[in-house]
Amino acid sequence: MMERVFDSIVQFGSRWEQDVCLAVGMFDGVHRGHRSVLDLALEEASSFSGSGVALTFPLHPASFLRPGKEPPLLMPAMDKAESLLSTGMDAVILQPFDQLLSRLEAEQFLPFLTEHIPSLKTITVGENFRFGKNRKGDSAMLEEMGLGHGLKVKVAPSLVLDDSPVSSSRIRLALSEGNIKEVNQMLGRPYLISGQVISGKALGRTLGFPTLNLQWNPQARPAFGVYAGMVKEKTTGVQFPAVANYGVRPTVEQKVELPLWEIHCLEQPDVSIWQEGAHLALEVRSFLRPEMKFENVDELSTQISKDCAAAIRLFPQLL
Amino acid sequence: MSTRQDIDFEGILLVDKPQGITSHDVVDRMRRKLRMKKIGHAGTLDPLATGLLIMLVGKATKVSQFLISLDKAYEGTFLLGVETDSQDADGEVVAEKPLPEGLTEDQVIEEMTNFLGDQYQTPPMFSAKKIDGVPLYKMARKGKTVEREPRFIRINELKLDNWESPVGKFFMDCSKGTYVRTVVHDLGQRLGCGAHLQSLRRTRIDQFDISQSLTLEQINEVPLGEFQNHLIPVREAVPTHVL
Repeated sequence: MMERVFDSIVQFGSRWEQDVCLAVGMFDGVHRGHRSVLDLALEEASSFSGSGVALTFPLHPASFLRPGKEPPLLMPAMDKAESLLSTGMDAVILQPFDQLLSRLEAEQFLPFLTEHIPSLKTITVGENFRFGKNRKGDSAMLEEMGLGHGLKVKVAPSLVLDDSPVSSSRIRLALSEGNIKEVNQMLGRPYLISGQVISGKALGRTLGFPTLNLQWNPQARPAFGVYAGMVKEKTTGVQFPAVANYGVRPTVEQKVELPLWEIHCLEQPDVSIWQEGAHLALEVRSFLRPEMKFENVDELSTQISKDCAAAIRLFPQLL
Repeated sequence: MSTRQDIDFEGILLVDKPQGITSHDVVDRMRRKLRMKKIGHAGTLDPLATGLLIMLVGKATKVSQFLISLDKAYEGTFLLGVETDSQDADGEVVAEKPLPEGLTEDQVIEEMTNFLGDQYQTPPMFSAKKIDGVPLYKMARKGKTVEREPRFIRINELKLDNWESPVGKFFMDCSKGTYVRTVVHDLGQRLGCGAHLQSLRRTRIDQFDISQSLTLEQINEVPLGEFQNHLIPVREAVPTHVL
């Protein structure tokens, strides 16, 4: 995968030989709205037997322009790159939003792209795309400018779900409220967390619920609580239904730690099948309850049994 | 029968770089030992640093792009309160400040967790990175500062393994292109007292572990005729789609 992920427009332009249709956007979450921009790029690329390439930023431009004011991102940059490639894109450019780009006037945007990517033929963007210094350029301006630069510009209309457009900020809000159903609808696939198994304190095992622990903290955190989903080992593809707690474990932790995903496999209680360091992914299907602090470990244990039962009841309809 | 000059080695060699020599010095020694020119490495270690260096021999140089891009893990020590121009122990001291009063291990750990995740890092002035074809360290030696563009990096793990004020021993797992000394420097800035990197050892590059590596002394003792046995075939080192 890594060899199809480029660090900058310059690096990409110097190595890529095929004709290019570039889909440009932040693509945080790679949701259904983004996918119409990406699909449009792939469609265009195939019309001239070229490559569909996503041009995106690893961090939000606001984190450079107004540090501390940037929206929390749904996905770490490499997860986003992986997700963009899995939609069928031939390459991904993770261009840092730097001094140079921040000073680029809207009028200079297309000349800048064609200078560094000589094989650029077509550009696709979403309806709400903005570009250039002070976000002066919009999709209509880009279409117009394309004519002058011999580039085809295609604009994908926003995707509407329940009367309002699907957007990354709407997904962030739903995620923070534990509204996984809506999140998954907008993503067009289950919300995915992934990471390597880290060693835990084996407290779960003493409670009778051994867990696999993942530390995975995107900027936009899901609501702390208990979720049901499918856990999958990435290299073998082996998967099991699971319940997972995301949070800071108020019942058993004295001091505040980084939030952790604790995954308990419902059909495979022996967690030793996956060692520390194993790459796991969890498809989150349903939110069961918010994280709570219990009086004692027995109460916690009783609640976990109920959570497991609730997850098992849910699965026939979820899978 | 082939003569010694005819042996064309091919594969990946894991070397434990000693302190005090450049990564390119290791390449030179390997070229002399194997009597081949086509040898490179995948990811520079500063002279001060020791540890895992991936050497590419023969046709294996073709997969350098892939190997360069892998995540890396390091163990090192930082010294709080002393800042140097190169951000490591090889540089000149530019500032000395007392540590914040009553600084605890937990405070250092908390500050370290702020470095986790995706971020931009501005490469240090003293670095091999080139701007307009001139390495930054050459400009730095002439006292010049140039505007450096921040680069995208990711820190997967940053742990304090031991704390004996003012020295901290740490473990870090990060993406390619991450300057460890800059992370240490920035940690010093956040704590308000400055810091520099005292020592550094690279212990892992993705699936390759330091325990699989050979020291230069061990390499010297390997007879040329047996050398191929120490090379990892390219097809075992990288996924098939890279080949």
